[in-house]
Amino acid sequence: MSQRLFLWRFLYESLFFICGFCCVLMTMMPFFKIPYYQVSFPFILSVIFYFSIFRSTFLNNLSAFVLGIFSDLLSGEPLGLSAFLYPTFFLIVSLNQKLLIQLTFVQLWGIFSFCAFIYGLILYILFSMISGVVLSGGGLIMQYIFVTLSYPLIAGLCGWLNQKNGDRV
Amino acid sequence: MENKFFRFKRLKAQTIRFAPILFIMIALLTLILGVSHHPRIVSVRTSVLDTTTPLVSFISAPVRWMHGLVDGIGDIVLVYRENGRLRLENASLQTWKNTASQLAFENQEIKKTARYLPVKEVASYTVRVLADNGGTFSKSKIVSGGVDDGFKKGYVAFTHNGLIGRIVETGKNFSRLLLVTDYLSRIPVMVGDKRIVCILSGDNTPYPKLILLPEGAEIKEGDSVVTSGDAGIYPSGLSVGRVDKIDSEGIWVALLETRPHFEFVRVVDFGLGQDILTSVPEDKK
Repeated sequence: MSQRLFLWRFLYESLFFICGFCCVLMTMMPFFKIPYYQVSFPFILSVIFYFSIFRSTFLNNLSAFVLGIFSDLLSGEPLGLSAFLYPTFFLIVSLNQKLLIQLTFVQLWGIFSFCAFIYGLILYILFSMISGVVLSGGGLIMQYIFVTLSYPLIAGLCGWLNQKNGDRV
Repeated sequence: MENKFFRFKRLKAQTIRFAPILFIMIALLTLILGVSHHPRIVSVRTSVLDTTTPLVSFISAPVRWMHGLVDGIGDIVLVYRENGRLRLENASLQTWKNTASQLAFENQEIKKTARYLPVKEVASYTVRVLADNGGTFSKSKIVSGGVDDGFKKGYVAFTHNGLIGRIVETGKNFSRLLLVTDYLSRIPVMVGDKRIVCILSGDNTPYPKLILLPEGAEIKEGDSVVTSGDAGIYPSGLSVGRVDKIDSEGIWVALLETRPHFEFVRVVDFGLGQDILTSVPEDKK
């Protein structure tokens, strides 16, 4: 492998991580907020879901873990919460990768919606356990609706990134 | 040599197979430490805050500018209506002005008679909101000003409308402001004229809930909610909001500050800069 190709491959592999990193940073911006509840769009879920199916060797468990830690540190949520949920989400999807990769886009969208629901449910249970009171799930439901509806857009962007750069490696 | 190679390959394959479980276990351990607010975790968090905030602030600058522009256009559109409303308000305030000056005079006389000791002047700073955390349940904002500017944990934050939260983490140049609506926010408050003591608890909606009410407490919609000063988190007597809704599920409070975005906040040092546990002398812990 020539040096140039190696460098290109390294950059390409980093690109998926940078993509996830940007998604985490975007949650901090006031623009990307769901009105009334003021919760962010969790784009990162769509990115992890897409890459765990189509490029699981590049955006791997370690990346999901690091992104989770980074997200927790930035958001002020209990450290380790996203670091636990992201790799778990990644693991569940990547274990079924062979099955999922054969599905059509609409079927994948449905599976994503189901996975996001389970993710939200676990998140709600964990937060309620930590806070000791039954929290309002309104923000979480809105987040779920937005992340499911925005999946085609994020998957399209990830697909474009995957195809555009994948040909060169 | 070959054996060594195969052994290494097998080890690598096993590591890859068990890596996900390993990461999940590490994350769970971190979560336990994180929930217990371990000092090391807090220091890592503040370091990350200091490192990433300039980047987030830089990226979100155009968005902030756009927000300002949209607000500005909105203000121009509403200027005539607002002007009419202000004229009416001014007329009614003129009548209140006389009453207020009369009351101020009476207040001064009573203070003299009762040998009232005034509350000491408190230091306050105006800081800029740089980022919003956007968590599903946690509600906090990152503001400029940190340890280098003399900021301490426990400073209370206000907008021009009223109380919004307090500083919970201080980095070198930035601090994290925990909002009243955060899922971990618990404020001892007094409600209504009868001063019923209970807790205002954030529940991930813009309307926090009143919990731990005493048996048979009589609370009605519109009652004022002020801090009680218990537990030393907030000073006593700060206005928080009014009782908005009462139903079978609970009592909700409408806060004085209802806007989700604000560019500047005022942080005030009421001398509550330390945790209760850390402020207890070592021999009395």
